[in-house]
Formats: sequence, C-alpha cells, structure tokens
Amino acid sequence: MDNLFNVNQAAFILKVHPLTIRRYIKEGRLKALKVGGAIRIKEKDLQEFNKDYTPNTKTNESGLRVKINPAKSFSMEDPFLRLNGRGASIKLSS
Amino acid sequence: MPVPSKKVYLDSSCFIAFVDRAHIKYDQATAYFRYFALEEYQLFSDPFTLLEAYNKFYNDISPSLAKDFMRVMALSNVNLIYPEETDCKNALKAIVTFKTTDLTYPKALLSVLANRRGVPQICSFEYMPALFGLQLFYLPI
Repeated sequence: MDNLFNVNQAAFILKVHPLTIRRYIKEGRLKALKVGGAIRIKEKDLQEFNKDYTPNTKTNESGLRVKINPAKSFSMEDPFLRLNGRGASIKLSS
Repeated sequence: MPVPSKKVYLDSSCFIAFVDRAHIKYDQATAYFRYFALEEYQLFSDPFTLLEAYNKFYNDISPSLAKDFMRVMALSNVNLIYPEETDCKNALKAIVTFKTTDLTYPKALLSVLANRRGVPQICSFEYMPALFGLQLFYLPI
C-alpha cells in the first residue's frame, strides 16, 4: 500500500501553502482520497503531480512575457525520413 | 554520470548527405537520422540551413526534389529557429572577434542560434569551430 500524506505534509513537500493543496484537489489537478472525513494524498499521486516543468514563456527585451513553442521530438513517422536516398547528385564538372 | 542531451542542431551537410544517395556520408547520415528517430531526439535547424540544402538539391539533383524537400520540412518535426536582429549582431561580433578565417558567417549564426536554444551538439559533416561550447555530434557506427 502506498504511503499517505495529509494536506499539511503535502504542502510541506511541495513547499506551498496548505490552502493551495486544497485548491489543487478541488480543481482536480491533484488526486486525493477521503479516509473517514480526512483528506489523504497517495505518495504516487504526489510524485506524479510533482513532475518536471518547462516554462513555455520567456521575457523579451522590452520585459514582456512572450510564449515560446515547446520543441517537438523527431520520430520514425516523420515525413523527412521518406526522403532518404531520394536523389543522387552527378558532378559533371570538377 | 551526466545524462547526454537529446537536442541536436542540424547542419545543411547532414540534410544533403541523407537525401543524396551518392554522397560519401550517405550511410552515416542515414544511421544518424534513424538513431534520432528511435531515441526521439529534438532536432533543430534554421531557415538559412534549409535554403542552403534547397539550393544544393536544386542545382545538383533536381528542382522537383528541392521542392519536395521544402514541402517535407514544413511538415517535419524538425524545429526551426528563426534568427532575430540580436542573433545576427551576435554572429557578426563572433566572426569579428574570432582569430582565424575558418569561421564563416552562416556557421557563426548557426552557433548563436544553437546557443540561444541551449543546444549543445551539432550534426555536421564539415569543419565546425567550437563556438559557445558547441560540440560535434558523433555516433560510433
């Protein structure tokens, strides 16, 4: 069975206010369960919530926040792979 | 042990070597792109690099292949970095301050753009000066 944390413990781990944890639960962003009348959060759910974050905005020269597109990953379905060996150059002059 | 970065910048020579089956580095380029796809690397390039490859295809292979290349690049997951004015100025500064004449403006601009997006490696079959700590991608095959 997973370790269970209460709201205060989860707040301590995530370094946020306990009310923020309650808000996350209310918004459905953080999974929680009720044991009797008390809110408990599974360790696994807390770890899943606490994953890597890459900001999708940056500050430009004039101090404004502008959105940057997240980088896409190359995969085997990429259309560029269909161009593999499509041509052969012939050098007629040196 | 540090985890190797999965971001690679692509030079025009690797696009050319991949498409042109008569290229001396064709097998190597094929292996590189297959590896990038299997390992789900994030690939970066810029419009000038594409233009360079396009011109090469247009002049040495065929105009229709050059057109296909641009069409495919528009749909591809290769991330294009568009240079800003500051990037062009930084590239100019780099070629002025660089001691030797090996560094050309396109290579300097490419290094600046790679540095801006935090790309530590470049895939190229040509000489690349180690500007901003940019390293050459190497796959032992």
